[in-house]
Amino acid sequence: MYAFLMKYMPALAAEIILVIWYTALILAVILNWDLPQAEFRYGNM
Amino acid sequence: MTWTAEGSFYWMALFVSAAWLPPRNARPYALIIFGILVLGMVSPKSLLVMLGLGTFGYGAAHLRKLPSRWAITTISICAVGCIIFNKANIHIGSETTGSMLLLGLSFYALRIIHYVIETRTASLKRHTLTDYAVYVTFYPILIAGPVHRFEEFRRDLYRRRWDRALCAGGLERILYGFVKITVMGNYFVNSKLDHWIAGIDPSSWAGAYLRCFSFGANMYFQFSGYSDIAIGLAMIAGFRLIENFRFPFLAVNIQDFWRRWHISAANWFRDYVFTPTLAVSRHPIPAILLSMLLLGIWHELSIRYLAWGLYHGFGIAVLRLFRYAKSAVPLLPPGLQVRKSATLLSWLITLNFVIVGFAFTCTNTLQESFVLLKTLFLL
Repeated sequence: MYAFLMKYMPALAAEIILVIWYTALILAVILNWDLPQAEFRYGNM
Repeated sequence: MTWTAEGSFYWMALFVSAAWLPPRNARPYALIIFGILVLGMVSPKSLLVMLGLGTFGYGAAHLRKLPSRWAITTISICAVGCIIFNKANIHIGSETTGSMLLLGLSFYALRIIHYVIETRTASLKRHTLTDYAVYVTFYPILIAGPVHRFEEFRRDLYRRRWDRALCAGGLERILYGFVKITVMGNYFVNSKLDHWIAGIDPSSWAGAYLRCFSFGANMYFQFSGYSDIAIGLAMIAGFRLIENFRFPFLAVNIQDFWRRWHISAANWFRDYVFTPTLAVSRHPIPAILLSMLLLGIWHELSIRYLAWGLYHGFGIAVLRLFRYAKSAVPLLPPGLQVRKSATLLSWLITLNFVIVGFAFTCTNTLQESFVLLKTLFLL
């Protein structure tokens, strides 16, 4: 993703966007961590 | 035992430590011991079956006195027998037999059969018992795959070096995996979408369609999330595993779908069921139907999954016949490009074919599936 961003913007902007992106994802995971685990029913492997 | 279970991060950290901290020569042994310890702690019965089948597989692959044909047949019968016994036990389905579930059997059985066939056909380079043991007991792919191939795995086992870029890529994959499971699967599909669907009449067309869609979306996010975490964890340990999902809902035909959905298992069935059957029958249709039927019941030993496998098999067979007819009678003048709208239409048909197919798997009985299908086809 870093390489993708670097193609279209300066390095500093790419790095800032990357930090924001990963922070948002980590926060989203933490906030949803306690939700009940959805039933994963793909046969009975 | 799931990646989102309590303590999974500790296991991951311990695995990475086992992959890198011991001296170079001891690392394969550390990986083997780690895999055995984890499975032994979670399910000792599963460990015993894995060790038994693994040992038998190694013997079948290397016992010179045993002819190749017999070796492959024997290991296939044993592995498939174990899978059937395991799945039949689950399917009988009492609380007492519920504990019989052998973790990861469906996956390592395929890996062991692959190893025996490739060894017997002399497709593998020289390797040791340790390489094979690391391959069978490798922690990230122990429970839910992907069904990785031995030769690529052995190459990584010898070549792997600490690589910051690969490690960063692995961490990113793990994060995306957790996002898919917790945010997309648990929050958007399981919590929001299912809550919204609950307000729609289940006997209406929209209710039936959304039920199938929600099941498929949840399955995709959960399973591809699991695969992402397995692939990411292996990347941190210096292994590059086969991809298991590649945006399957963007497939433009049903064959393309199976190149994007559960890729490692689909490739296994292509190589070890479809190709040999094609060689014997000299006709692709029986080979397609048989491989998809087996792929279906590999997931679950039930009429519903058999029907699901056949449904996809018929889809691929019809596509092949359509392509054959198209090549015999060109629909477009030579040199004329297929319009984008045709690709869009093709994608829509494939997407809906797949969603309708989930009617077989999102229910508990085949009768329920038929009721759902009747609603979907407005019958």
